[in-house]
This record gives sequence, structure tokens and C-alpha cells, in this order.
Amino acid sequence: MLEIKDLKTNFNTYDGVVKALDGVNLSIKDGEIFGLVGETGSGKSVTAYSVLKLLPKTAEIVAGKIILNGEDITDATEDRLRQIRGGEIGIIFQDPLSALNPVMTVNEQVGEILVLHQDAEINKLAYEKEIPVYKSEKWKSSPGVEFTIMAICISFISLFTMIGQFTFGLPFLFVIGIMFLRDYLQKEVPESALDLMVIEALSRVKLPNPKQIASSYPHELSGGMQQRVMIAMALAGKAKMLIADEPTTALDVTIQAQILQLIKDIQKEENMSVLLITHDLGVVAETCEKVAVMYKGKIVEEASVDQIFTNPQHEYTKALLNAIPKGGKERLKVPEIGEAGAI
Amino acid sequence: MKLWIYVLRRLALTIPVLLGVTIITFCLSYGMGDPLAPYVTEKTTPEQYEILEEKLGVNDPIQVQYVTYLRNVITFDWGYSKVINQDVSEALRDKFAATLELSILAFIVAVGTAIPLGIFSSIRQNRWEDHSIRLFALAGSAIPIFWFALFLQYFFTINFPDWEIVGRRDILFWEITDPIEIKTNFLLIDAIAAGSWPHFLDALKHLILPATVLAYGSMATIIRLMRGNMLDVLGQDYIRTAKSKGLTENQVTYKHGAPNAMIPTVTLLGMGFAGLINGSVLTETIFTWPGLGAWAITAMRSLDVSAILAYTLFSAFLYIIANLIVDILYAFLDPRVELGGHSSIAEMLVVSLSILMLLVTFLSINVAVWFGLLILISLIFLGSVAIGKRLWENPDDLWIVFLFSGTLFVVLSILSGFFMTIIYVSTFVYILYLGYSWKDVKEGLAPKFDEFKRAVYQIKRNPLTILGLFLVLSLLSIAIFAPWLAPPSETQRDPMRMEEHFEFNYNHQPPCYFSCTAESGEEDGYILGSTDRGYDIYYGIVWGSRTSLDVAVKVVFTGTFIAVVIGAVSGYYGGRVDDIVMRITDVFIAIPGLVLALAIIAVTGDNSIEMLMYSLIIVWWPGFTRVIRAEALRIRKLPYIEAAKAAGASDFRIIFKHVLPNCITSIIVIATMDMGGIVLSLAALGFLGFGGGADLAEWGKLVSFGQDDILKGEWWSFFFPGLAVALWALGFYLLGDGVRDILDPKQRN
Ligand SMILES: Nc1ncnc2c1ncn2[C@@H]1O[C@H](COP(=O)(O)OP(=O)(O)OP(=O)(O)O)[C@@H](O)[C@H]1O
Ligand SMILES: [Mg+2]
Repeated sequence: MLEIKDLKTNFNTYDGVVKALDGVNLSIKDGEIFGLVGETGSGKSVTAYSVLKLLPKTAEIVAGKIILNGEDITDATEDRLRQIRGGEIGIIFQDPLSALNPVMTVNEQVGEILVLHQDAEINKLAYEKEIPVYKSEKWKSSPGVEFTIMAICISFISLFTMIGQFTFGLPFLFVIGIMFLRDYLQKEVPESALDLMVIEALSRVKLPNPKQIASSYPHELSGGMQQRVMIAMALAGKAKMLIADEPTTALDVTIQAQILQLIKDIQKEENMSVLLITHDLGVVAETCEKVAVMYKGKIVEEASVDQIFTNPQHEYTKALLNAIPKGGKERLKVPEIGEAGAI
Repeated sequence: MKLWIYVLRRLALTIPVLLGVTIITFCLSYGMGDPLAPYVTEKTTPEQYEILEEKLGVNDPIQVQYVTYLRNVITFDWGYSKVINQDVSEALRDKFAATLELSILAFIVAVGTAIPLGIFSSIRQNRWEDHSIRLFALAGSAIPIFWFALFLQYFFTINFPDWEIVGRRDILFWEITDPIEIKTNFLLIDAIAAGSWPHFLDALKHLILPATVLAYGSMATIIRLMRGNMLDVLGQDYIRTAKSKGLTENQVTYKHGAPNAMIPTVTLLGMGFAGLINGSVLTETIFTWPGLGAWAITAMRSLDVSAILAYTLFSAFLYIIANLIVDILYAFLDPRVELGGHSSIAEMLVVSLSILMLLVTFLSINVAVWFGLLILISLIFLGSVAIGKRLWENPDDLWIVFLFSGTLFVVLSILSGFFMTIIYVSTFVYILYLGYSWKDVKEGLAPKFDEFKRAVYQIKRNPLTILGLFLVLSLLSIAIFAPWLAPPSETQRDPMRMEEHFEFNYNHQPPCYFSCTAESGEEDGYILGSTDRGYDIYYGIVWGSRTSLDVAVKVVFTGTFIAVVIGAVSGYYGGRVDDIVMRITDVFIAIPGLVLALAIIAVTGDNSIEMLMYSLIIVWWPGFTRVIRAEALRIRKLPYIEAAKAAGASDFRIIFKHVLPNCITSIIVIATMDMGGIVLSLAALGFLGFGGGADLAEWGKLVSFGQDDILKGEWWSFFFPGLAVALWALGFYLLGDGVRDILDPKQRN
């Protein structure tokens, strides 16, 4: 599925060149959960971002090859990259709250990726069910626009009143009136095909009450729900591969387990490949089939999970294993996923 | 529903601030000369005089006078303006439309160009597009508004002699040739209502120049804000998420980046509005625009008190309303804002008492006086009980009391004249104190030192910062070496007075630059030309740098002193102390700076340069204080401060050893920038004819001498002194900007 060959990525900083990746080799097969572990700063995130070219401007890929399903995408054009991002590879991040746009609703954010990668599907659904394709009154969902107009109207009215010319304020009063009435007139807006697809994507990640969640803003959701929304978003474009960059680090323990279980379930259902980045060997033991250990920008060991735990080769891997607290594996025993609403 | 509660709450909270503003304007009116003056003529008989006294309540006790004043304010009985022979409230209504038309157009132009430019600049960060936009923005902040206006006027008189560069409309055309009905006094709207294209064009033609001038300053601020916010937002995680979805670069920038960057920009638009009010004073004066600003200046020049107070109060009203709208807008733009937010008991108490006070005032003055006194006494009582209780429980905190009385003493000594000595001495003592406890301080400061080392390294690499440093150093050396660069004449007693410079002066001389010959003699060899009164412009610029330096250093030093003490204590303790300090700064900030400074100078009738300094200090300290307070708030949560607290260090030690040295970055940046900002204000005041004698060597004054010569094509007398102001401000802004960019870790890349 994905192959990385001798990848080297540098950062140009004021203090000189930082060699974040110094020859990384990885190979992830179809339908495999692949773990990437390593201490903080070892270059795990940079590896993930290099694949999708999500690096900051100061970074530069200086050598190596990235091969996706046999296609060399190291020097892919911007257009091809955009197809891959979200369409073929989805990615989720460590801190879901900061990874979601705070001023857009879940509906808009998930909808966006559907429009980009599933447009044909949406149109088909709309045609079959004879409903509108997109939301018919888009600006209603953005209170920003609505209230900006309202505030402008109010200020004009007050200004005209101040100079004793109330009549000039009347048109603005009229606009405000219409905006209030509109809420009543538009109660019966039919759901669009896009809405339905968003709700479907949200229910796929086992979110309770997806309709209500779709209309909320990220800060109104719990950490677990936010990460589920992120996963829903990453997969909405029917990506065949998911990169999860420490998806559970920012969550507390029980929710961590639920999210990992969710990733496993979805992986099985869709036969996806997953690159799971973590610094927790316990997580790797529970979830992955193969694992690579990273240290200072290099892969120092790559093996199946069993091998790593029973017969570690590299000194650093041994050190990592010793650092796991006794019973660490037991602690992470995945509990039965209960009502998702309990999150 | 929540929405309306939020709006109502914000509305209610403005009432105490407005009350505070009336207290300031009342103090201004109380501190000034004869309140009867506007009504008295030669023909007034003593009996009439007494009746007047009776009617205006001049002999009433101060509290009665205040309440009467308050009632007059809320019933829109704002007195009589003698310069225009009109009731103030009527005048406000007539002139407001003119000012509003100008400001709205300027605001639209400013926001409409600044936001795209800011966004563009941020996505081209550190490329030539970015550099030129930044320079353009910086110039907008540094170029004095009045100089830019004169420049445009000069340019248009030379190139388009038919273009009327003053006024709002061609009166002959509007009133005689082709009269149309003026209903709203928004001329553009009236022209449209009358369906007359020529009128519309004429009004627009008159609007363009002043609107451009007014817009430029605000535009500069908004560009810088928007650019900074955009850079901040583009580094956020959700931008990476947006990219990972497969959106194009443009979609990411405009759909995900811009709306988020707009949020903090909008919160500062209210301040931009204050800038417009300040600017309109100057713009309207220069373009003889029949609006509020021009009227206020005329009033100030002839001590028309009711007009001055009314204008001050009205500007504060406008500013508060603008901020109210901005706050509401902000709540709508950002879904994260808690609309619910619960009011504290103290807040509700203050608001309801203020409303009650207004109501009672409206009903009966006597009751209101008693009511007000009662509130005041109980507040003082409650305050002392609270303070007493706190001190009883933590006797260590006694030092705050000393500190505040110390600050009060310093402020009083500022007013009595020998303040610089005190400030230099206390700064010196503080530095000694830091040196004495160096070991403790060093620990917390270690990262700061690295930052400074990095800063020095980066300053060397940033050409703009080098340019700033060069400008600042050259202007400082001009000030220091003035006696050698422009030796005063032998008969001159005071080198700062240009009138004394030569006994015999030629006026209107063009500059001769480096070719001034010896045989033409000193009298007609003016390196940079001479003014209409024969003042040597070169001499004025050289010695004017001393005035600027003097005022800037004193104001910045004193302002920083007050701000650092009050801000650090307020931010460090938080709670009640903080609340009170913040409400006081609220009131001061509500009055646009230039307007307040002008009002103070005009009303005290003291046109000395010292008075100008005091007024600038009064205007400047609240802004400073807020920044320092915000820093202190942030710093007190840092781990090692908590550690010091846990280790039992006293608050006094923590504030002076840890909090203050940690604010040093912000203090340096603000102080550097304000060295420029204060000279801009000084020059603006000087240009309007305030501060120091008429022949004091001061850049703003020199520019004003050249104002009338523009029509004659004499450009040198406004150009060179204005250039000096601009270079001074540009130098300090570049330097401050450079230092901030470097010391602010967020900007690093
Ligand atoms: N924006 C950047 N500028 C400069 N250097 C960077 C930047 N981002 C990462 N690096 C460097 O790249 C190296 C690898 O960083 P990376 O974020 O991939 O670590 P990581 O393994 O993901 O660690 P963590 O477990 O903390 O997420 C780090 O040592 C860091 O110095
Ligand atoms: Mg990482």
C-alpha cells in the first residue's frame, strides 16, 4: 500500500539545519495496522506529514521516495496531492480540539471533504431521493454572516436616529424583521443529500445522535466525540488508508481504549491500512500487527509485534520495553465499548 | 434569547463607564476659568450677572453642581456654544452628519483595503510583497496625518488647480446655481435623493482627499493587525487539517484562515474607531470640513467651554457605542464566546446603582445629591472595611498601601514640577535592588537572556530594524549636537525661541541646500528655506529635535513608571484591586486620546509645554497599564512563580524580582514604540497651536507655519519639519517592531 524509501526531511531554522528525518524506510501492506513508536522528537509526526506534504514552509524533503500503491508520489503535482489527501489517505491528529476549525460547525467541516471527494455520490443520492444536493440556504448555518448583517443594521438605525432622521432607518428595520421572520418561514427545510451523507459518516464512527452533533461547534463536544468527528472526517472521502498521529494522547484512559477499538473495528470492516503513531508500546501490543521503532530520525527496528516483545534486537527497543510499567499491558485491556453516549 | 440578554448586559455595563466620563468632563469644567464667560458681554449689568450666577448655580456646593451637570447631560441640555452662536445639542446634530459621512467613507476604505492587504501580506510572508506592504503600513502609522493632508493639498493645487481642496461642497453651485434640498446633511445621500449626478460628483470630489487622509492611518493599523493574526492562525492545527482534506491553498486561506483571523481583528476595530475620531480633528481642521472636529478646535482656541466638554463627552459616547457594537459583533463571529456569562454581585450592584443615580437625578436634584453622597460614603466605608480586613489577615500586604501612596506622591510631584528627578532616582534605586538580589532574579531570567542574544543576532540580519536604529541614532545625535549643527545667534537668550534667532529675517526664502554661499550672508542663506515669519527652518528642525526628545523621554518614563507599578500589582493580585483599576482605565480609554489631551490643555488655559506633557501622561498611562497588567496576569501563572510562592516568598519580592523583570520585553517594545507615538501627538498638538509659545522650536508648529503658503507653491516650510516627525516616528516604530518580532516567540520561524 504505502512504501517509504530512505526519506530525509530537513528543517531550516535560525539555529541551522535540523535533520528531522535521516533516512526512513517503511513498508505498509494492504489491510494492515502498522505501529510506529519512538520517543518524543524522534520524527514520527514529521514522517506522517512528509507523506502528505503537510509540512511547514521551513521544511524540505531532501531525499527519498514515497510510493503509494505502486505510484511514486514524491514529486506529485499539487493537484494529484489534493486527490490523495482525504481521498486516498486520511489523517487524524493528537489534539482533536485544536485540529478542528473552531468557527465552523461539524456539519460544514465534514461536508467539505464530502464535496471534495464524494461529489458523484452526493449527486446520485440527491437524484435517487429527489432532495436538494447541498444545503439550500447555506448562510443560515453561519451565524457570523447573519449577525454581522444584524449588527450593521442596528448601528445604522441608531445612527440615523441620533441625527434625527429615523425614517432612513426604516429599511434597515425591515431587513431585521425579515431575518426574524425567516426563521419561522424556513422551519420546513428539506434535508439535503449532503446532510444525509454527513449524518451517515458520523454514525459510522458510532456517534450518538449524529443529527444534533452535526449542528454543533467543536468546543461543544467532549474530547472523545471530537476525535470521533476527526475520524469520521478523515474517512468520509473513502480513503483506503488512515494515518493516526497519536490519536489518543490527549484523551483520558477509558476513552483512549474506545477510540482504539473504533479504529480497529473500522479497519476490519473496510479492510483499510492504518499507520498508528504512538509512543506507547502498550497501545501497539493491543492494536497492531507490525511495528517499527524510530529513534533520532531513523527506523532502528521493524518487526511483527510478537517478535518485538519477545525478542527485541536493538538496544533502544530494549530500553523502551523496560520503560513500560509492570502490568502495563493488562492496564490497557480494552473494555467492552458501552453506550457511546457515555463518552 | 440568550443573545438579547448578552446585548442588554453589555449595554448596562456601559452606564457606569459613561458616568465616569461625566465625572472627568465635570472635573475639567470645574478646574477651568469663569463659567459665566460665554454669556457675559460688555452690556451685561451686575443684576443680570447675579441672575446668571443664580441660574447656572455657580455658587452651589460642588456636589450640587455635579448633579446639575449630570442632569443637563442626560436631558441633552448641553449649554451654549459661543463660537457658533448655537445651542450645543443643536450644533452636535448639525455637524455630526458631516463628520459621520467622512468617517464612514474613510472606515469603509480602510477596512476594505486593509483586510485583503493584510491577508495577502501574510501568505507572502518574508517575500518582497510582504516587505512592501509592511513598509506601507508602517509609514501609515508613522506619517503625521496633518503632513499627509498638506502634502495632498499641495499636490492637488499644483496639478489640478481647479480642484477645491477645502470645504464640503461648492457652495455657489449647491445654493445658487442649482439648489437642491438638503435633508439628511449626508450630501451624497441628498444628491442621490435629488437624483442629481453633478451634485453627487461634487460632494464626492470634496470627500476624496479628506477621506484618503483619514483612512490611511487606520488602514495601517488594520493591515498590521490582520497580518499578525493571519500568521498566527495559519500556524494552527486546524489549518493543517484543512490541508489534509485536499482543499486548495486558496480555499484553506480564505475559508479556514481568514474567518478565524477576523475575530481578533474585529475586537480591535473599536480602537480603530477612536483613531478615526482623533484623526478627524486634524483632517477637518485642515480641509475646513464643517464637522465636529473642526468645531472642537475652534472652540478650544477660544475657550468655548460648553463646546469643548460636549465634544469630549460626545466622542466618548461614540467610542463606547462603537465598542458595544464591536463586542456584539465579536460574540456573533466567535461561537466560543459564552453568551450566558453570569454577572457578579459587585457588577450588578454598580450597574443598578448607576441606573438609579441617573433616574433620581432626572427626578430631583436634591435627592440625587444625597443619594450620590450616600453611595460614595458607603462605598468608601465598604472599601476601607474590605481593605482593613485584608490587611488584618495578611499584614504583609501593607506594602501595597505604601506603594499606592508612593505612586500618588509621584504623580502629585509630577504636577508640582520636579518629577523627573524622582523618577530617575527611583529607577536607579530599583536597578540597584535588582543587582542586589541578582541571584534570585537571574534564575527566572535565564531564558530571557538567550532571547536577547538571539535578538541581537537577528537585529543584525533584519534590514528594516537596522534602518530604524540608524534613524533613531541620527535623530538623537542631532538633538545632542544641536549647538554645533545650528549655532544660536550671539544675541539669543533662549536657543529654543526662533523669534530671537536672527534680529533681521527674510521671510519666504526657498531652500539653498548645500550651495548657500558665504557672500549672500547668513540672513538670506537658508539651508532649508524660511517660513512666512522668516524663521530659519533648518534651525527650527535641529532645535525642535530637543523638544521632541525632551517631551518623549519624560512622558514615556513617567507613563511607564505609573503603568508598571499599577499594572503589575493589579495583574498580580487580580480580584477586586484589578476590577477597580480596570474600571478606572476604562473610563480614561473611553475618551479618544487626542481629544482628551486637547480638552485638558484648552480648559486649563495653560498653553505651556509642561501642561502638554502632563496631558499626554494622563492620556497615555491607561493603555500602558493594561498591557503590563495582561503580562502580569500571564506571568503569575508560570510554574516558577508558583514555586516561589510555595517556597514562601512574599508578594512584594515576587512582584519586584520576578514579575517585573519578566515584563521587560513588553515594556521595552511599548516604550520604544511610544517614543514615536508621543512625538506624533506632540506634533499634532503643536500643529493645532497648542503647547509652548508661538515661536518655540517644535516640528508640528513649524509645519503649521507652512500651511498657508501651500497655495503660493511654497512647499518647503511644511515639508521638512513634517519629514522630521515622520522619520522620528518611523525610526522608533521600526525599531520597536523589529524588537517585538524577535522577542515574540510566536513570530519566530
Ligand atoms: N516546525 C519545526 N521547526 C523546526 N524543527 C522541527 C519542527 N517540527 C519538528 N521539528 C524537529 O523534528 C524533530 C521530529 O519532530 P516530530 O514532531 O516528528 O517528533 P515526534 O516523534 O512526533 O514527537 P512527539 O511524540 O512529541 O510528537 C524534532 O526533533 C524537532 O526538532
Ligand atoms: Mg508528534
